[in-house]
Amino acid sequence: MTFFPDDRASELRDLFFESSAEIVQAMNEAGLVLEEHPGDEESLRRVRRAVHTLKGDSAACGFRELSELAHDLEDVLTPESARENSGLVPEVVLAAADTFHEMLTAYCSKLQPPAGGALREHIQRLLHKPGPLGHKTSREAKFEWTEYERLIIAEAFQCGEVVYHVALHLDPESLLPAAAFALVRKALEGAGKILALHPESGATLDQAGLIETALSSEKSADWIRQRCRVPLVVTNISVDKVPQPSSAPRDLLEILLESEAAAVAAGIGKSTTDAATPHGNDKSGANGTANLAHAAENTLRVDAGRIDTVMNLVGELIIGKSMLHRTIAEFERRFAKDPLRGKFSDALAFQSRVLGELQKSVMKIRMVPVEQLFRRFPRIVRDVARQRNKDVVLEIAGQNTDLDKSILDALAEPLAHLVRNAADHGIESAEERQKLGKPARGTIRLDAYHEGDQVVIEISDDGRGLDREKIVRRAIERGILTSEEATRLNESEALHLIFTPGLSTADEVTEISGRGVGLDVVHSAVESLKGSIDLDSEPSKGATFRLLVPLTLASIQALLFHAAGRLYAVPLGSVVEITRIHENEIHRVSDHEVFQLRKQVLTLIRLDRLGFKETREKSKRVFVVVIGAGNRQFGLAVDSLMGEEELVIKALEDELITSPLVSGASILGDGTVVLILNVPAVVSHLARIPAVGAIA
Amino acid sequence: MKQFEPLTRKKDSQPVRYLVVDDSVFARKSLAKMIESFGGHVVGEAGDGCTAITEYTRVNPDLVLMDITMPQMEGIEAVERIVHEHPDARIVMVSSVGYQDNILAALQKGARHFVQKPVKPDALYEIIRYVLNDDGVTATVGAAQETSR
Repeated sequence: MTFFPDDRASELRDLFFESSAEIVQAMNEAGLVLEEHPGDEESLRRVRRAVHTLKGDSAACGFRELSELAHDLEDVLTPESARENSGLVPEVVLAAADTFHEMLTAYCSKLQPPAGGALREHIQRLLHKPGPLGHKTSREAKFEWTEYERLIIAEAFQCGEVVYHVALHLDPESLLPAAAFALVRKALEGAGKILALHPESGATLDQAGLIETALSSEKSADWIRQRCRVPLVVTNISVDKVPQPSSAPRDLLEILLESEAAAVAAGIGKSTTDAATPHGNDKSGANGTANLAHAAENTLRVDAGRIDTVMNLVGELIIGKSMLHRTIAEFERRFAKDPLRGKFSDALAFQSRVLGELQKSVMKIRMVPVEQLFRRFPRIVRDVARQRNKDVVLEIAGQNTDLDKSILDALAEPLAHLVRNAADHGIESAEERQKLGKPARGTIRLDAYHEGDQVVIEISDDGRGLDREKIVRRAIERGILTSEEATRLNESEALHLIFTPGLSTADEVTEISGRGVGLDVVHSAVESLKGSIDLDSEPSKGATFRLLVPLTLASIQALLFHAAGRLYAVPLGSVVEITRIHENEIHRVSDHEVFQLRKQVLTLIRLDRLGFKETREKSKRVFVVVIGAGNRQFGLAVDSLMGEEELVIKALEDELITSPLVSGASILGDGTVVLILNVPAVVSHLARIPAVGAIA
Repeated sequence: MKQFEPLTRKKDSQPVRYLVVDDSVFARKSLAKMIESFGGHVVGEAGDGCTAITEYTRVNPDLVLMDITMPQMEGIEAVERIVHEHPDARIVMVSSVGYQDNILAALQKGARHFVQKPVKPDALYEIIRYVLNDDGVTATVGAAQETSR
């Protein structure tokens, strides 16, 4: 199937799929820009380049169907067709991005690719809308000159020259439009003095093949017609004498003023004639792409698996380091006077410093800006908005925030889901919004920022918000909680119900909750990343989802403690404070144990309650680790504290020992295994299983 | 082969004189056949650009049909040299599909027109008529007399 021997072929294929995914993404982005700024030639060029690359690459990999389609598409993506069919071009580009994506997916799993018939139709429309028959009526010569050109024409009049407007239609069958253009130009030059010419070169000739020119000539209109009817090139020609302006030739200022007014009236980005001038209105698009192009340089593609291997080895080294630490500590105790002591600790200090740097560097390799993920969302929002006939704008901030690649990948689906939901259910229709006194255009904001050793990704909209009452009512109907329990829910707990599996999957919930299906999937995806979701909502003001995920999955700073006869760890980032309370400060409120911390009443969790272990010695005073999960805080009763340590997380892959409450395990320097608690899971578990009768 | 209204020189009503330049003998012969069907005379042939230049000077034709890609000296360079020596030389480039850049270059150097391979007699006839009509040496067309100046 490919031109390469097998061993190289698979590598090249992988590379192809990777780079084509980027190409499709680039097409998506450029398509959106084109939709905003139809005349943006830089974006169009970008699409063409992308399509061209795809054409070549896919041909080299033997993906003929894709290559052919790309070839067809490349042909129609000319600046002229963009100018002619400004509405159609972005449509085609986006449709093409979708089709190419489908085809690539099919190729990737070695299936027959879809035919891409819809895209072909689009291309045909582009080709034939200004087709050889249609264009004579639809694409009339307008002779819209720029102010500079008008000035030249006015000057020619002033000198008493006779000026003709010549419109020539090139044969659409002509295989060499640029050469044809050159011939026409030659003919025109032979007929007189060219004052203005659109387009200015054959490279920007459009599908209609129309050339407009203002010609100063001493010859008759007939002569010019004769002279410029280049056989096999010009199908149609019209030569009209331009009437001498009745008023006296105006001065420069007047002309400039008028064109200014015309430009304002026409609005930015519309003026077709100006688009041909070098000072187009595509500055924003051009800058953006230039930056992107820069970013692409100087990068190295490495299989993520290789980095993982290095990361794992670094993890082992860190364990080795803490083994050394312990051994040396032991040594120091035993041989307090030995001169080797100092040398040992020097060497150790040096080693740990280098190791720290090494770890940081490897981690940095894994870090990618969230922009990689955010880039996809403008397209999603646009599609949903179109489908639903809404006016929605997506604002993106914090796209340079770095996040571990594997986390980012795992977040892609949940985030897309939330964004889609926000556009679909969150934002109201334009009429509804106006009735509520909101701007017709809804706004969805995506933001990302660091908060401690976590990254927060925020999706907010200014739509209708979540309806707490309806969510709770629904949950009761579904038997998720009793109405009595419901009365005790605080605002955040009530809203969090939408993440409950039974609640959000049913269809009717869409209307009830105002949110779509599958939020439980989002929730569990984030939880599996040891992250959590916060949720804020204000009726008719909008809703905000905050996804908190750890910076990296590879290692954490953790607080170690003994509880229920075992060693546990919690991420240091979620520890708010550590306090000590007396047993008799613990009270029972309904089914929960609570204690008072200054002015706050916090729920107390005992790990043995969660089914970890059932032994508990009675001690009068208890250490309490106050942990924050999302915007909630609770206390964790522990037997003794061990201190903090950097833990390299080892995933617990064995199903037998995996519990949602534990997010991973780690090995300490002395070989002890420590379990890392999954704080959000512990909290939600606690919320579901009240400590009924737990206190004797 | 289809016969066309003979093209003649206006000044003396003599047959138009052609120089055919192509490195392929077959291409030269098939062009010559067409030229005959237009009522013209092939007065010289050349297989490369260098010969084309000397032949032009020797036979001083009314019109040159010049292939673009040839050994030794490319058609474009030959055009440049010929037009440099004889500014009123009328050269029509003959090219394969897809050499647009070369055609553009040749047009820039002074070629008058181009025709694409495979050359269709009707197309070539139209082009020759246009190119000749262009500059004083007008071809009179027997039946369908054009209303030219």
